[in-house]
Amino acid sequence: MESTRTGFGHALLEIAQEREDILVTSADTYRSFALGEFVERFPDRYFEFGIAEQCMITASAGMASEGYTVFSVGYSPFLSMRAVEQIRTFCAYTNQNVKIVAGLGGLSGDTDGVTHQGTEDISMIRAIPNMMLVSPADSVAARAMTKMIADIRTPVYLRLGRGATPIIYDEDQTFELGKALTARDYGTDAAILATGYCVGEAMKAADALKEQGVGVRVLDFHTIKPFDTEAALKACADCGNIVVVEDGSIYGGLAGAVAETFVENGAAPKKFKRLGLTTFGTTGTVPQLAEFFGLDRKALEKTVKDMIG
Amino acid sequence: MNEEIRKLYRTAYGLRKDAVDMVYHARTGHAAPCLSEADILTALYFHVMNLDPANPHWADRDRFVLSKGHASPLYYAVLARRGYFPPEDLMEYRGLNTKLQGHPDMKKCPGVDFTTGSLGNGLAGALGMALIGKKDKKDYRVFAVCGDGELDEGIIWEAATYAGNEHLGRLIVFVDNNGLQSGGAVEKIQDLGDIAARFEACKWHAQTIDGHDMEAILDAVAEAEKVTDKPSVIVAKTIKGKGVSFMEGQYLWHMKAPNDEQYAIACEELERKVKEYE
Ligand SMILES: Cc1ncc(C[n+]2csc(CCOP(=O)(O)OP(=O)(O)O)c2C)c(N)n1
Ligand SMILES: [Mg+2]
Repeated sequence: MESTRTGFGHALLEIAQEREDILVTSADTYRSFALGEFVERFPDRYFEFGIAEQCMITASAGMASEGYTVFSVGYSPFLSMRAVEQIRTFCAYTNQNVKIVAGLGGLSGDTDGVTHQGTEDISMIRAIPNMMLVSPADSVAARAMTKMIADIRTPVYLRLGRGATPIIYDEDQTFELGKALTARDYGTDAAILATGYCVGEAMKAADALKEQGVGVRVLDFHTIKPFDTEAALKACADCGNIVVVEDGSIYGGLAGAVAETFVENGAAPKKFKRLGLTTFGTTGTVPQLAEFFGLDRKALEKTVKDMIG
Repeated sequence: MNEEIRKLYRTAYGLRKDAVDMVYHARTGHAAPCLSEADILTALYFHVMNLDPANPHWADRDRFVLSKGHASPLYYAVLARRGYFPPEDLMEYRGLNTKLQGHPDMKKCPGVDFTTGSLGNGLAGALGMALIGKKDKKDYRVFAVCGDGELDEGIIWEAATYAGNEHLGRLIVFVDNNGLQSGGAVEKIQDLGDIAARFEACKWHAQTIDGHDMEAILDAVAEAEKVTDKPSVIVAKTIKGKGVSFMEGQYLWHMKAPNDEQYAIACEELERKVKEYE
């Protein structure tokens, strides 16, 4: 178990040792991103704005316009919503090299409740041109993808969690930006398309279903934008039964991206089910909320069985 | 010290104990931020405010907004001890889909006048209530408590400017000036300079007091009441973690639950304080 924020923090420290253009901006949040050592070792490359997310984002765009690579850390609801105009107009429209690093993505704000849950972040950020949207499923993915996004010079939203979550990938797992990862490939009875925390639940569901003679493919959409149209269409053609699961709004979320892709390409799934939020979140631990909102292993198992039933 | 003041101190330490109980029980939450605001909330809810806990939406009640919404456990304890819901419910804090959400929720928790948790917004909510009070010629007062780190947010100063220009004499705001925020000292993160002077520049009446001196808190409210043509800020110098020795002045206790051993010490210290004021 490890937080995706820890994976990010460790990767950034490694990159910063090699590259002097790497800066961190923080809204009283560096402590939550395992950046203590970065701050200690590179005090002149760390800018603390205080609790002032909007100012931080536009100032980060200003820094990026001077040629730097800026990693701006904060919490998903306060970045994807409170500072969304700053992200859209000053980072995305201007195509600045700002990496918006958002902890507390989706329901991971857990017992803090709705104010701290970024359950609309995918929908908000997907709508913005030029933005890449990356949503790693575990700490291994977060570490690898932090390094990858540091190498591109355009704006990225990195959607992270909060608490420690299961490690689902081996240390040597490779990732390719923009290409969904096949996390399980047990057959073509159904495919589960997932992102973030829900990928681990989907893998557990696939393992359990395999025992029961049901073969499921699991795709990890660690990059939501650009969207891997090919993998989604292939899952539809191969498996027919499609379940999309995410710990945030299905309106405009991963489910929205999948549905749009299917309709636009004339792909007709046999059955199509969206698991995610249609309401606000509430207070609870992540496993409690996953069960409450029907996003956990059990809900996925049942959904697949009902589909093929 | 008169009996009323003694009683208020006793209540405040009892509420601190409730808050620590809740954070310990939930295994997470903001203990230290509760302990600095305890005397202010106690003074307001157990002495100053016009309320009817049996009728939480009573139109003429005084309003309260906890703009630093993360310090909810103490607020919930206040509401429970004041009769808005049974104190037994306090251990629901942060439980699944509870009325006692991690941050105060006006649609879920009886007695909560405004939803908070996203810092900075509470003051603007209070501004809205005060503007309506003025427009509709109501007598209710609007109280709010802000954190000092929270004053980093731009919306605070947008709200402060409007309130000053509207001469909202019934808006009384405390700044829980404990000198610490999440990542360390306020002064180090972004030095705010003279907080009282900043509000004065926005046409507010400002006072600076010891936020753990119950008489000073009551006097400051009385003083603020006399100023009818300006909103009032009361900059309350406080200690983050006040009342629990190992939390006092420690920013690392901003959001953290005590372990068994620490919890035992905290209970012992707070209970001793309650006794001291009997
Ligand atoms: C808009 C927003 N940004 C960040 C946070 C996360 N956060 C919660 S408490 C806190 C520090 C608050 O410090 P202060 O206002 O001084 O409160 P206190 O010291 O009384 O706890 C932060 C950054 C938040 N709740 N809202
Ligand atoms: Mg403070």
